[in-house]
Amino acid sequence: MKIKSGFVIEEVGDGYLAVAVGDRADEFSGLVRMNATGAFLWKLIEERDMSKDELLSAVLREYDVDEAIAKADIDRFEAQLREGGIIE
Amino acid sequence: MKDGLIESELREHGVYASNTFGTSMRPLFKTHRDMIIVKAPDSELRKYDVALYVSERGKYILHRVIGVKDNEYLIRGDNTYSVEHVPKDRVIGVLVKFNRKGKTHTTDELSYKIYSRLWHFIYPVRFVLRKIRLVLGKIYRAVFKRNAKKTTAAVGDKEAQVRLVRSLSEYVAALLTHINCGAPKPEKPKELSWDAVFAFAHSQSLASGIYSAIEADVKREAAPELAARWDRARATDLAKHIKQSSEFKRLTALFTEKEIKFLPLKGFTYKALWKNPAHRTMSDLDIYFDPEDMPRVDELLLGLGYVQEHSCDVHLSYEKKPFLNVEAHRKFEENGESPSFDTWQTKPENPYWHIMNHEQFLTFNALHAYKHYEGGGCGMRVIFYLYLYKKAYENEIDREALQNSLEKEGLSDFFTLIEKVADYWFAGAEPTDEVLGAAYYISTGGTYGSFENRISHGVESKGRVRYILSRVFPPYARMKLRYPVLKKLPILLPFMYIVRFVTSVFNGRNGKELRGMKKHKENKK
Repeated sequence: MKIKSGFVIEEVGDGYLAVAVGDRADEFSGLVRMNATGAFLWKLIEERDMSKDELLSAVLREYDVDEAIAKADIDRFEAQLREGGIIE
Repeated sequence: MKDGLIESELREHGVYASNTFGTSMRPLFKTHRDMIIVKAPDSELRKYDVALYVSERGKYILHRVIGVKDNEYLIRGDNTYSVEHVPKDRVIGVLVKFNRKGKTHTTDELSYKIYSRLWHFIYPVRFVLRKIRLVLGKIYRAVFKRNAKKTTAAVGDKEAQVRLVRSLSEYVAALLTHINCGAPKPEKPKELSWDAVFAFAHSQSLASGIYSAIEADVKREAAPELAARWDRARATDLAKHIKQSSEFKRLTALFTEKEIKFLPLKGFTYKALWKNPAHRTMSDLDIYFDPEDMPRVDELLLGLGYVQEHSCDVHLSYEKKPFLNVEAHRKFEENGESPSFDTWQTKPENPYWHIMNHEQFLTFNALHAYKHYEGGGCGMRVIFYLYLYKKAYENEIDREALQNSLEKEGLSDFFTLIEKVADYWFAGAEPTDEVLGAAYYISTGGTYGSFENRISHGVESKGRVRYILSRVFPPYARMKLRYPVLKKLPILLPFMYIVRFVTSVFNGRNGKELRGMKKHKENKK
């Protein structure tokens, strides 16, 4: 999965916000709120297409977390972004 | 257009982000390209801060603060040339960070601070350069794009438009009297299309009000899309009405139970007079409360699931989507003290439900109509309503008391004019030119008026010099609205004219009007 082009993410306070700009803004008019983990995943797939397994390895390398939990988080993350029309 | 989405995001999360829209903040932001991040302000804004605020029409605007006054900010976009006066409570956010051309910046950065101050500093130069550009543009168009035919066509168009508006307004008025007063059903003039009738009625918020008389004709003669649209308008208004009446019943019962005095104003009180109250569409439930009871009212409404949408000096707005809107008034009028609840009688069965007597009611609504009339047009709906009210209570109204009450507010001439327009529209009276002019003005203003309408109104009927004079020395009624001290000491009137003139020099609002007038003069050419 990869984030579609035209999204911008910024850190704000203790969270992260992302919006669509340029032509993408014609399709997507919402506001995405993320925590640090979400932003971590987002930034990984901003430029590169990565599979869920690749993301899982990256998360396990970076965070000290149970594999099952990380997998569930990534699944949920992917589902939400897909529903929002944010990933291709 | 009530959209509390951004306000609720800010309330819940403290920050909000969006892409940019519009050209008013160039060269800093370009439409669509950039991302702005605002946070809910935790203190007063300062000069050079970029504020997010809600305009009077409910639009969200992100412009720069260029001055701070006691109750308002002076605000202007980096690429606009007029100052906006924004009451402090309409500002909901301040810019803290942004992404421009793919690069992140905060408002603390030195480069941004330099830009903001420098850009503002050179405003006079930018202003002059823009004027030069505009003049050059006009010269270019005058030299290379002259077209004499255009002017005569424009005049002819104007006459045709006046005739069309007259025809539409007379037809809609006739439908209203047919439905509500038993007059015979009018024939639709051949030159009017059903689309035009719908558009006009809709602009007056009367689309569902006239539908019952013409539904069969519309379905037979007009395009199915129009009929569908009209059906939808009626269904929505009916749903709104049902929701609002049951909510009104519930609220009045609760206020009574909690022993909170209340006085329903305007809109909702109108409904009882229309043959079918569903025909009277209106947006809000306006109720006046004793300022001391406001905290309890707030608690009650929030407990019922209302969300406080925004507030201003005069009232607080509570919303329960999709239809319900309660405007809780804590001040009776914009300026001046609010009368005590003893001024009004109560319903015999309920000592908390206050009602205005006929003379108070007519004066209050005439004042309200006058405010909108001066602002660009108050709409056929209001006129019809006042006409129905007068007819229904003809024998009970104390005309002398009414006259005194109107004269106290300086409204008797206005009221007489309105009565004449109503008699022309709804009682078949022959209109004089003055009445026709007023009718046209009302018909073209839409329900809540427009600025350009006000300019043409003033100029057409009075000539330019007299118009300017009437703006510099406006009628007593308007001076009273603005300076309530005149109610107690009318002798101060000449002094208040001076005050008004002096303050206008310093707040520059006249600039906008003079420019509006110049545009009007050019349009006439």
